Amino acid sequence: MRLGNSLVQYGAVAVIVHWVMAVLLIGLLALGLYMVTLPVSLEKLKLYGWHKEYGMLALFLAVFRVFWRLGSITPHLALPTLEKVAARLVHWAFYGFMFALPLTGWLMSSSAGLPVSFFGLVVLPDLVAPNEHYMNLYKDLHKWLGYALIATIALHTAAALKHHFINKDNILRRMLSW
Amino acid sequence: MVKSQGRLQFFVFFLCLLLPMISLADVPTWQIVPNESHLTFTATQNNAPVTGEFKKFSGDIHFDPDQLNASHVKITVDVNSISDPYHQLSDTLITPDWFDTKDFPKAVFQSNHFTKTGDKTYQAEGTLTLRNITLPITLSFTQEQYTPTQARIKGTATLKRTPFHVGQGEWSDTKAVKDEVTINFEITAVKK
Repeated sequence: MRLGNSLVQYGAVAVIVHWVMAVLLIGLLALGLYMVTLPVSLEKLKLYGWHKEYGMLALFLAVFRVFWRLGSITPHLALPTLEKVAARLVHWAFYGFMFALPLTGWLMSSSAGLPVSFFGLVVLPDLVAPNEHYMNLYKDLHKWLGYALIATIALHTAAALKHHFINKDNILRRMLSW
Repeated sequence: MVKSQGRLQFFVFFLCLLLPMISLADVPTWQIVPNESHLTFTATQNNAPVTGEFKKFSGDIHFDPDQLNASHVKITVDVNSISDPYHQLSDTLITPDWFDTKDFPKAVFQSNHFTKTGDKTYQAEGTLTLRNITLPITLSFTQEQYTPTQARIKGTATLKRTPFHVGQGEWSDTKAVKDEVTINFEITAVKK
């Protein structure tokens, strides 16, 4: 078992963090889409609480992941230049989403006067003062970033499946083992 | 010469002793300056604070730090002026499960029992009437500024929401929304 990446393969840390974040982010997207449709109730507020806490967990994981990635070598990608550029662009877009979504969510909470509790351990500081105008701005940003993330996940998944089933190469497999 | 100066000093001192007696007849009345006065509440939901504000309130304030026994206040809050940057929240709080502002548009705090607790700190024991339920409440406040014409105080109080029937039905669950609510106020008032 290898923790770090090699020139040919991703290591355990990269693979595990990839899948943990995949489950976490898809779960957060599904939860987010569902909870906003509910009328105000204890149930809705509870789900909002979970969404915020797990969203902050995603932010911490993203920070860890970006450091791990910057400190690691990236396995060689045997693809034509254009496809390689496309793949890298999508990867960096994911890093953008991993930060932009929790940060706009945090800004939304702060501007709504509803600070974020982190699993009852600590209440996160407010990034901005309560302000209805900015709250609506962050809300729209958060929403459209969420939709864009869904589109990017669809693209990323389609590409991975295309490589596996049509090109029959090892692109998907190298994210499945280490 | 020295003797007469001593007499004068004594006379002035004597007059000063009389001063509080003169003003005893007249506790000053204060007028709230709405733009410089705020009344907020902070509840706890999902372990995180939720803060809102009552934008409109008025007061009948008769207060003199030197005549606490003769001081009395009555603050009337327009519960409908409840405001929160997250609209869905204030829309919910005016419903019958919460403040029921249609039937109970006003909340009233009254006190005529003030105690000095420190150099510039006071306590006001009184009652709060909310949703037609009147219960005792104690406010603590600090005098931040006090001139003959203007005063500024900042204070706080803690109360429980369920005895006032604020938050009924599923909302009465105090694990989800804690029973304790903190009230914070900053009031600037000018002497009438």
